[in-house]
Amino acid sequence: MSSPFQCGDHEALLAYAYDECEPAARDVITAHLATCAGCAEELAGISAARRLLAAWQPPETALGWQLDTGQRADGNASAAAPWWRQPLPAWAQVAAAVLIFGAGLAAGGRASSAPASEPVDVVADWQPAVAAIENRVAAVESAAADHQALLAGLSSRETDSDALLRQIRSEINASEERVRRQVAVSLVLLKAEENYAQQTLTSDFQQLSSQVQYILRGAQQ
Amino acid sequence: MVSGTAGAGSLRMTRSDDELVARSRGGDVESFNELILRWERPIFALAFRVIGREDDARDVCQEAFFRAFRALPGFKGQSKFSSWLYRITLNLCRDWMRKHRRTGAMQIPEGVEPLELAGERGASEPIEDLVARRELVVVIERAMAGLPDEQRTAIVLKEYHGMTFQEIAELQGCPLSTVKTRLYQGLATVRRSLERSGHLQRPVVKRT
Repeated sequence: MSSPFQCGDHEALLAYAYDECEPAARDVITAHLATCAGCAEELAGISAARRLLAAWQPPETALGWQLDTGQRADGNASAAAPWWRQPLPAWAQVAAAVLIFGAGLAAGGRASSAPASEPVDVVADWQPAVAAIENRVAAVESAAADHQALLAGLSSRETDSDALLRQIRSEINASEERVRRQVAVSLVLLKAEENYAQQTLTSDFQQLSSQVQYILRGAQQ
Repeated sequence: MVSGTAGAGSLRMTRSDDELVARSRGGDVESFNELILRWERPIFALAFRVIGREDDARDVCQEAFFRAFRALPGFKGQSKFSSWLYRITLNLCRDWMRKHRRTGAMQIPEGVEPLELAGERGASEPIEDLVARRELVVVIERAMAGLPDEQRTAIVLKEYHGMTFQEIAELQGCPLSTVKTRLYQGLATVRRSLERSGHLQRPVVKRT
């Protein structure tokens, strides 16, 4: 019986890495890896890359959609008969199905599954309505933040001018520290971007140089 | 299937996708809402990683559920509901990429803002670790953005959604060997990017 695995068979190594081999092939590959540094290195590289890929996670964005058929607010449901089986024209079926965004639609991505207080009719074009809701929520949040700040300021107001100056200096120092950290983070990221770009250019240049040398050697022969 | 009561701490019988689909086809909107709740995160994650843009991924995700709802009467259960939903989503992603294509690759993901970075930081996480983690993600995102669409999609389906080679082949409408080729070539490209950026050392294998 011929071996099911040939040295350097990358796709077989991939199946091995993902544990989607036939048992017989798995045993053969395991035995081969013990004696072949090249294949072992290839497998190690695939596995290492996969481990790092796990760091890439989607953002915690607000979802929480619900489907609403526009039932009455008094809770009276329509008959149990499946409404979309009725011979309704396409526009009527679409009009009957309205997507509601959850309360977590607010900016900042707070996840919530609670239904919005006002359903949005998205039959025609829902995006402007969504944007309007988001703007409203952002405006309310901004006003709330302003009020909180005002209340905090009033509650901490001191009649003693020296104490007030100390408080102001402390706020300024804290603000400066935040700005310094942000600048430091930005600089580090910029440096990382520069290094990445330089490494990419160097690698591309080396590859191009090799190709030119190969061509020149061929021309000289 | 007995329906349990909702509420924290109470025992709730979880209905299968098949049962929820059957109830939805019978007019039970709440059952379809339960399907949405169950699958919205994975579908959003799929769209986000394939497209690379959060807002557009949300749009695609919502549209996928809307289309699934409209097409539910015609869904006869030939495949799993999740597979069917994934197919709808991938078709929408493909349409989006065709519409927004400029250079043949998806757009580079939105950049990192320092304020956003500060928000991600854990209470005790040193700033250097946070930056390192973010750098890694930037490298991964750039590498994935540079891949051909089909390679990137294959990696996303395999690495983040646990699909088998066969399931990916059915979703992408290609032979099994093609899926493996796409996966291998895509991972090799990502691996090279990670090695160039210093996040991955070329492995040194010692023979025992």
